Amino acid sequence: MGDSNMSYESVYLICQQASVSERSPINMDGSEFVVGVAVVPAETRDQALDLLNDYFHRNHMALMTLESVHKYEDNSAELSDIVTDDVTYAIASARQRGEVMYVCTETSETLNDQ
Amino acid sequence: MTFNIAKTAVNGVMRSAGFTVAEGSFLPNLLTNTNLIIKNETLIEVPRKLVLRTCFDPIEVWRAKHNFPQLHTESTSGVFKGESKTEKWFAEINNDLWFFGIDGTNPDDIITSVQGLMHYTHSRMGFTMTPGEILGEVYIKNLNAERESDLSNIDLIKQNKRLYESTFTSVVDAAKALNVLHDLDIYVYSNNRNPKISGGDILDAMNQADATRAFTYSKRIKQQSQSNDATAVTPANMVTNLHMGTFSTKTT
Repeated sequence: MGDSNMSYESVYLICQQASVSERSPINMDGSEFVVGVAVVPAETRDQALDLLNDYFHRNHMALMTLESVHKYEDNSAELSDIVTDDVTYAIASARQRGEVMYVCTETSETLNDQ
Repeated sequence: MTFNIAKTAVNGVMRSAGFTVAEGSFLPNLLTNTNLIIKNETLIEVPRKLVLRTCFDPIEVWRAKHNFPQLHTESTSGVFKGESKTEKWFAEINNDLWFFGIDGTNPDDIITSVQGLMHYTHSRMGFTMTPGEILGEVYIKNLNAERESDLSNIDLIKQNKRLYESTFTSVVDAAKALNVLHDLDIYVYSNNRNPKISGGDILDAMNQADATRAFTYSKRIKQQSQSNDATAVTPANMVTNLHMGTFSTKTT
């Protein structure tokens, strides 16, 4: 997955809520769902959504609510709320590895704790 | 609900290293925390002179996974051959010494990394850490034998329990082989409700590995974590539980 000599410039940020099963690698606290930002190297919005669905399928997750889809532009002011340090790092990784990266911002457990 | 760590210096300067198994990312927020110890039922934050971080992945797999193409040019890296003649790659990353290709269930790999740190302190820092100063507090975070993707969750839990038990035994065996004379304290960060293995199962694994004492600390701790393939991170506000097992290194 991904060619180490290429850089994948075009990246989409997809804000959504996804269910997680016990087997999902991101489920470390017994949650039923996560809220997060998926960082998807893709040329088009549709391709990004397809690749995210593939990622969910492989990782025992499923889309619950699609909040928003953004083509990432460096230094975009309107994306500044979404692009946290974790997301910044995920963007660099997605561009380098050509793989979907997923940054959880909440889980159903962390929401319960608040 | 988190707690406030009592920041207390413990007996002056800490000479001992922290030691970790199954390290993942080198990002500060994802590193396994080696600054916490439990003393008299209290959680205390301690400074470490050095930390030895061991990683299962071979260095090139790790480098690609964690997006660190400049590893060999920006960090001191090299190959170390321990007494067992096995060669392992190491790298100095952000003032910690990392060893790669270290299988925590193999005492020889643990021994090689400890000897590597001894050699490193001797050749670069003007003193030689002893095995007892390197293996004192051992830290493990969220072990998961996730490569077995066809297993049912029940089977994965059993696999993870065996993995923890083998790791505890391996570290203790390594300490015995290196003539460490004091008890080892092994700390595990893992949420009690982690579906891959419960807190209770981790304590069982400690007891099965002959821990003289095993318990879960009463308050939860904020820790961020990453999936094995390093594509996903947990929220920055996620809490976990800290479990501790004490293991004797007496051979009689």
